[in-house]
Amino acid sequence: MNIKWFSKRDQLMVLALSVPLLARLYMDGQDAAMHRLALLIVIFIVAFGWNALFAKLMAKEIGAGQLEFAMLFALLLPSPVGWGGVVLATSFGWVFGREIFGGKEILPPALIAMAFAIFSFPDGGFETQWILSVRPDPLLALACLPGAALLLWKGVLRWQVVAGALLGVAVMLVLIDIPQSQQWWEHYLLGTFAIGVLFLAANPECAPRNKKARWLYGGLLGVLIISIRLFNPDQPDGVAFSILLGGLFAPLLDRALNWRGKT
Amino acid sequence: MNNFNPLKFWHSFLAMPNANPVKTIGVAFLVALVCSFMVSFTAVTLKPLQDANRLGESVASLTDMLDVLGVGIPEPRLVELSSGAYAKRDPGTQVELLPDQDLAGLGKIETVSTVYELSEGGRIKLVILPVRGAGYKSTLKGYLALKEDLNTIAALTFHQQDETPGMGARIMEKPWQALWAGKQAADENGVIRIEVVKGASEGVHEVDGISGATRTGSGVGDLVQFWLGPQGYGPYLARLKAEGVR
Amino acid sequence: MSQQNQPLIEPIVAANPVTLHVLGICSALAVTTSMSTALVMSAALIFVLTFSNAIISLIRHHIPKSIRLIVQITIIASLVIVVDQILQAYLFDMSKRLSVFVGLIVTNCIVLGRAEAFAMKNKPGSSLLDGIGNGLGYAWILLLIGGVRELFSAGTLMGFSILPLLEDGGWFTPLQVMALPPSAFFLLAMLVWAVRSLRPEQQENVSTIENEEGAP
Repeated sequence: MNIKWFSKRDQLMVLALSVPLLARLYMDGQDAAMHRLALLIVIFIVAFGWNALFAKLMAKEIGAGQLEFAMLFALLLPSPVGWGGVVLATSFGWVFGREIFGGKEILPPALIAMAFAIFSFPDGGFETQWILSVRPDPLLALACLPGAALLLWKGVLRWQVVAGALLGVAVMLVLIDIPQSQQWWEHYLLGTFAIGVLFLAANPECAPRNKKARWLYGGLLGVLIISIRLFNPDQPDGVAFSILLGGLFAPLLDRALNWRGKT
Repeated sequence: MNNFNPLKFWHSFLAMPNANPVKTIGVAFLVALVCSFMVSFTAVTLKPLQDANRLGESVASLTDMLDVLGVGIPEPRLVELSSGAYAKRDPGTQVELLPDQDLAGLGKIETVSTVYELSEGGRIKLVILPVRGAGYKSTLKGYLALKEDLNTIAALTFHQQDETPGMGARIMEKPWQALWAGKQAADENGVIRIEVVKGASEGVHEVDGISGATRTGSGVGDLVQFWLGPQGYGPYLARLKAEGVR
Repeated sequence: MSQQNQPLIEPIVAANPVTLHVLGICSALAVTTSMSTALVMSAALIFVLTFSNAIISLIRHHIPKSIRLIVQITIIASLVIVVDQILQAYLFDMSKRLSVFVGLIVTNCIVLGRAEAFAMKNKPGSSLLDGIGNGLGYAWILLLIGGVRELFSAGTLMGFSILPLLEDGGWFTPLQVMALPPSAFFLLAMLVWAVRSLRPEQQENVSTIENEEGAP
């Protein structure tokens, strides 16, 4: 059976994600870092297992993508979380985010896995608490930048989406009264904002094809993120849900801006 | 018309072409007649049973509460909410609430309500107040029991809600309701402070929320505050306290 | 399969109203939080469907075309109110848990669909069987989804503990997502997937879908 471990984009993504992953491991401290690494391996194995199973059923070669998926999901996971929940969420994310669409990623599978985990275990995983990080993480956000620069240089980062998201957040914060306890810039450093916007939303597979549509899509994400953060006290992060919801609008935005037949 | 034969008339009605307006109206009329008879027959015959069920539901919740508290049968009293005085009868009228008074999201409330008092030797030991208010996506109905100081909460139960299963709906669970027992509604200055907080609670005025159900939790806190406040049983409780001092 | 029993047997798998025609989805999402609600809802639907099919078939030659749908809906709605009243009288707790969804059987596409497609054209006997068959086809899917959701969201089946919960000293942590409506959507999708993999003749023709999409 043929196995394709990496696609070209995969290699770039893995390289880009390694810096924030290292930063995350450093911030975790020794025990949590070992746990997160072990989870990463488990996620990789589970995702590969599903990938191989579906490849066999469909009689095609085993495609790439599980390492990128495992790194993203491991990065998004709050620390510490239980094993069982991660395995279930990985299976759900991989099968429903990818395999049922024949390997095409309409929405990022890592985020589908994350959303499943958040809804499944709102008050604790199989053995531990599932609490989203609500502190700003300047180090993590900073660590995302080299990878983003690499992707931008290689042309696999849709920068219009990032710019749109930054603007969307700013507009929302100006329009809505900013809570006293929080500095406005903290929203950019909070939770999974940097990872989500740079590596998931600006991904060519999920972002719209049309350039204007990318700006709108990014802006929509920014607006959604701030709306969820400010109006739902149960979701202090909101990035995963915003990208999932916003991603559904990407094809529509493409079509809306193209409807006179211009490209 | 001497020899009018209903059977023959029926047959000739059925024999009409369906497109005939007389037949169309006739069929519509007959279907409506039969159906309405069927519906009203079931509704009227089953009404006593349904009423008993609805009554039984809140009574069961009340008896449960009394069992938990281990106290006897309380006496129902009608209370006029605005003055706090006992009323002779319930006029069934309602008053509109202004938006800034309407903490529980009710819109309007009754002028006279039924409370349950348990007294011993002429002194009130326990009052049970029916409370209700808006949760996250449904109206919550329950009972709030106050101890003799009319400030310490003896129990809070709910018997009606339609919140998210596994999240907001957990307000129905006994362990969560038990968190309310012993909490203080108001502080030394008489300001009602009781509330549901996210995460770990501190002190006698705070109750732990349910994770994943912040809205439902704050709805519960708001409705308790509302019913203990000036629009709810506030005047009644104030009167009881004043009489207790005397 | 005898010709006579065909209306009863066929809708159970081969022409299942939920998995093949994808009808009755909203109630399948709403009432499948537990097996008992799914069971009562199925019973209510079977009752309504059977009687509406039989009654409509009985009077089918005398229903004027111009008021056809109104007559059908009047009959269906009346049957639904009767069921709702009976539940409120004899199964009060259950009717509270089913809330508006018994009433919404009126809008369940299976009922009106069978009335239009079958009862208006067939004899009362086979219409009755068709009603029962479609009701059973709906019921087993509801029960299956309700069973899976109840098992994984509460560790119970029909209220009996199967997987001992962590908080009661067992090992099972409930999956909260199973208590939420989207889980029924995913389970239903997996079920349709499974049925259509086993019976490829139920798969839609891909070329027709693409043609429809390409149309202006």
